[in-house]
Amino acid sequence: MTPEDLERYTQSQWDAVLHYLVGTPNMKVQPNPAVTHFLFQTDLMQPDPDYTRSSYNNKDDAPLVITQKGYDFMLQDNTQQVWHFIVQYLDSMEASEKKDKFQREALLVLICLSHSRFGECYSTALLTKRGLKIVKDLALFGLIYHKEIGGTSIFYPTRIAMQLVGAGGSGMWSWSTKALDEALAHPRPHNSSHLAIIVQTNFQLCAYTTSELHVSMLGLFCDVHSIRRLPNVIFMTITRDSIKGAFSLGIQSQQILRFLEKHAHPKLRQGSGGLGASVSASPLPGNIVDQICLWDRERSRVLWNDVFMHQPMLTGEYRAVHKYVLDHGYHVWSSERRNQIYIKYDHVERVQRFISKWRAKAASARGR
Amino acid sequence: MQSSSGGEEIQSIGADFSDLALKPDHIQRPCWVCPDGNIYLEAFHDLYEKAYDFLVAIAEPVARPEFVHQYKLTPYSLYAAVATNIETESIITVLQRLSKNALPKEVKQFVRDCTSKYGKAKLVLKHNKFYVESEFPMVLRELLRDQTIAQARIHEDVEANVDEHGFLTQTKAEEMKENLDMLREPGDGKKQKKPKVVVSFQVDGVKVENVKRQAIELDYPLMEEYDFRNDNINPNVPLFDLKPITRIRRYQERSLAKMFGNGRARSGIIVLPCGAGKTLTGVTAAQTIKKSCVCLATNAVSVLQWKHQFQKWTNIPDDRIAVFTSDQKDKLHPDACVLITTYTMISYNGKRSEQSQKVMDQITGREWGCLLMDEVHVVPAKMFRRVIGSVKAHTRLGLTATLVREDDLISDLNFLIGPKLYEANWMDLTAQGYLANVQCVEVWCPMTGPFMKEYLLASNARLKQLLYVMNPAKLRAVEFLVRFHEARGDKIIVFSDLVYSLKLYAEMLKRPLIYGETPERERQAILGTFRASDALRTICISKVGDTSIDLPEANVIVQVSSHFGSRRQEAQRLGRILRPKSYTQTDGSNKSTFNAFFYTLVSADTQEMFYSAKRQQYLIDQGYTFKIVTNLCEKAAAEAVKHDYAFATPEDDRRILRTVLTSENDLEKVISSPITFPSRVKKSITIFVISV
Repeated sequence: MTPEDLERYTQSQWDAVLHYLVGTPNMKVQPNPAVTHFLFQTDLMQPDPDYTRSSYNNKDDAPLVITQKGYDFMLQDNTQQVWHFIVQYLDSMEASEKKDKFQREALLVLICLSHSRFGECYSTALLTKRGLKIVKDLALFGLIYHKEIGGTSIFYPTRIAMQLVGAGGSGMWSWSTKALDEALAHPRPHNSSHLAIIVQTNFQLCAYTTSELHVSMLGLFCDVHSIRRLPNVIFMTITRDSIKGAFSLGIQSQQILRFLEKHAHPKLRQGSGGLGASVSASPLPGNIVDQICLWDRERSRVLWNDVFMHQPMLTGEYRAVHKYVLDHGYHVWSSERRNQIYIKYDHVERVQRFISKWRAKAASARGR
Repeated sequence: MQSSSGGEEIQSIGADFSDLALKPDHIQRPCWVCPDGNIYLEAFHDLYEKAYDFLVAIAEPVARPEFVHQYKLTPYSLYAAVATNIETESIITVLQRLSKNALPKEVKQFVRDCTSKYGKAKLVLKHNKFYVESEFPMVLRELLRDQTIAQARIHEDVEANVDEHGFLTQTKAEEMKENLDMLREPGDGKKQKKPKVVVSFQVDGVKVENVKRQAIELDYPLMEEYDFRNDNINPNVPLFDLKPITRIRRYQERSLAKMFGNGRARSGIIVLPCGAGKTLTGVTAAQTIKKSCVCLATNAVSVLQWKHQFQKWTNIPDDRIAVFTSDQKDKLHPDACVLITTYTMISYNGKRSEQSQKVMDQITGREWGCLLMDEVHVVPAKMFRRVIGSVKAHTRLGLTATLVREDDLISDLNFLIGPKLYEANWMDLTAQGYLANVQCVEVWCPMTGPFMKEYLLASNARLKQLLYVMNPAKLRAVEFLVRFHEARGDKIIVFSDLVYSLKLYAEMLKRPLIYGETPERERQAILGTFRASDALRTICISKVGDTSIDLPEANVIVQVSSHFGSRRQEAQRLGRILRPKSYTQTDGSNKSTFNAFFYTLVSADTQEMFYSAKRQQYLIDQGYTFKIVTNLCEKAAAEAVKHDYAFATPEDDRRILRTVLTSENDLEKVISSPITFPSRVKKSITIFVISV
């Protein structure tokens, strides 16, 4: 196992997790079910709200889609992402009785890893039973390469795993800094981690990337039908529908803007900002930022309330019911001319009880 | 409703070309070329300028925002390329050189297919004889196989320069070095190419039309070139020279270089943004040819503007320039002259007055050197055919700012006039200070409650339109904007398509208005006052002001209502304020400061929002941005109460609503508006009197 192989292995495993998170179709490497379960448990993913809303579908079959929290996670750089995972992983042991021991063991493993040498293989024979379990878990996420050869179990620590502890926060693995260094003007092919986006005033995005992952990330809020892929660049457009689609997953406008800002092409940061751009700090065109915020605001214009419409049948009933719902604060809207009273749905039963009581009273009064 | 669903959606559909091979040195190259003919250009690349010149010559610009442009190869654009002497193989080599990815074979094939026949044969007028000319003897032989063409052929008496097929031979007219610069690799300038030989045969002048028609049938459309320097039958207009003070800008020179590239005059269309000096370009073209010239404008006001421009830039004697409009019918100079008229005057086919008929006979009876056509995009194709049929001109030059039509008639222009010779980039000209830097603002005006209710209940589209145009929030916003900008010392144009509302706005603002029925004299008087005096800072204009009215001082537009989703109208209106102002910087700093404002008022939550988005598309593709303002109306409403605007209270709003609802039926007929003004305003209304 050469260091390059190892690097590629981590990349592909980790990418598979991220791909799954953003919902890339037809991926070759599928993440381990344990991992997907983990994503669900930690609220990074949710059952597709569009799917569950339809009553024909069995809610348990709903495909998982990204959540707002997941989107935030995606915006972080890799070191942060991995740490996030580790923390969640440690937290998930809360349930087990020997939690303390387990966590201590896990930290020990991590520290050991940071002192191990990259590209060398180690035998698991030296690990405790718990230690072995942890190594196997980390292997699921691609942080460690674990293999059984002829009865002996060995593992290779990967670069990320080694840098988790020690290597000073922003290690070599920080994608964003790397991207910025390289993004000076042009992307390199075959460097899949690089992403530089030009946001144009005509709602077109021009993303310098070769990564499948980035396509899926952008696909979360861009119009997927408009995507045009070239060898080292992708063109796509933002539309009202595409942004609304992202909103419906719980992604916030601020998250989208932060993502675009973070990956803005250096040309956007340079100079006067060009025609029409105000002297703001944001590298994004003002009209695009405004429009995304306006679309966001559109959502809060209409509030949905469940109501029940009551149509009184007897003379005097309208007035009595109207007074009752007003007094108790169940009233939503009413019109005497149309003979309709709209009642807050949560209180329907009470109102109905009142109505039947009132009708009984009215009937007995008439009978008398 | 007459909505404008333009056939072509510019949105390109998704496609995956990620397996195109990227060249190892792709960073040094500025474009990507896709197999479907789309080309993307990095506008921040070192080679941008060169690449731009080349790409507008061979492809149609789709979108030109600040960073990455999109172009598309179309049969027409390639036709235009060939017409300006760019050869098939050079298109392919240069594209190959500029492209970051290996040139897809589909593109090569497309270029070859489109250019295999176009531009291979030309119709040249030389020494007053018509020649069909080509570099390829084979093409001529193929054309001559046709009976009609063969019959039209005139055999030469002189044997000197005749080849074995009886074709005349001569060296090819050299294309200007400047035009071919973009095709050269940096450093290979010294290489001298062997002069090319062209062959030609003469055709009978009487049968030229048949030959042209037949050639189109055979798929070899003849490109027309006019060798005006060797035309010694049609006399020159004397003293038709540019004055020494006249300065031609670089982009104007580029466009003219395309037209006169090989020393002859080509027919075609030049696209320059409004305010970028189209007129001067036209004048320069006409004076280069120096022959008699017909200049067509859209209306009488612009006819006078053209005349003024001819006299401003050239030394043309007064008796050599004639105007032919319904009001004024000058005599044509018997030898050679410049005639300025309107499309309608020429194409009118009813009975004419005696005087008019006389002029018309002179026009049709004469051979013209040049036919200048202003604002070609507005003229219906049928009218065009009639104009071109009645004016026998050797060269046709179309000028326009916006080569978009909501109908698909652009392609007609290609064959009626000629290919697009040049198209300037709005953003580049703005950055260089040749155009004002305009801040476009879309103001959202919420409909007031009662208006919204009526709007939702309204059954017919006309009433709906009326309601969103007369939205009281808009009225207040207009008054607010006009007050604000007048205080700043700006000059403002208020545009409204709906004459009814235009009148109301004019009355409210107490400013003069111009619409279709305003007499010519009054128009001139109003425009004159607006240009010359600070006493008049705002005028209200209907759609008659969309094109050709030249108001260099205006720097603010408030658009109240407009023609549905017309992209062209939006661009034309913006053009009214694009002319650079005295304080526009030409040192490049123009880019960072706005010096003109274009407000569009849109009633929120109505159809207007939809139309508005559609209208802006063209300008957005040129790189403009629209800033959306949502809180201006609140501010205007507060100001309205404080400063006693014409419409400030809910009672005022109800009054408008009542009049709108009752007058809906006879809207267009009722001239004197039945709107009753709030009493406190009524007293102060003084009809604006214009000093003539």
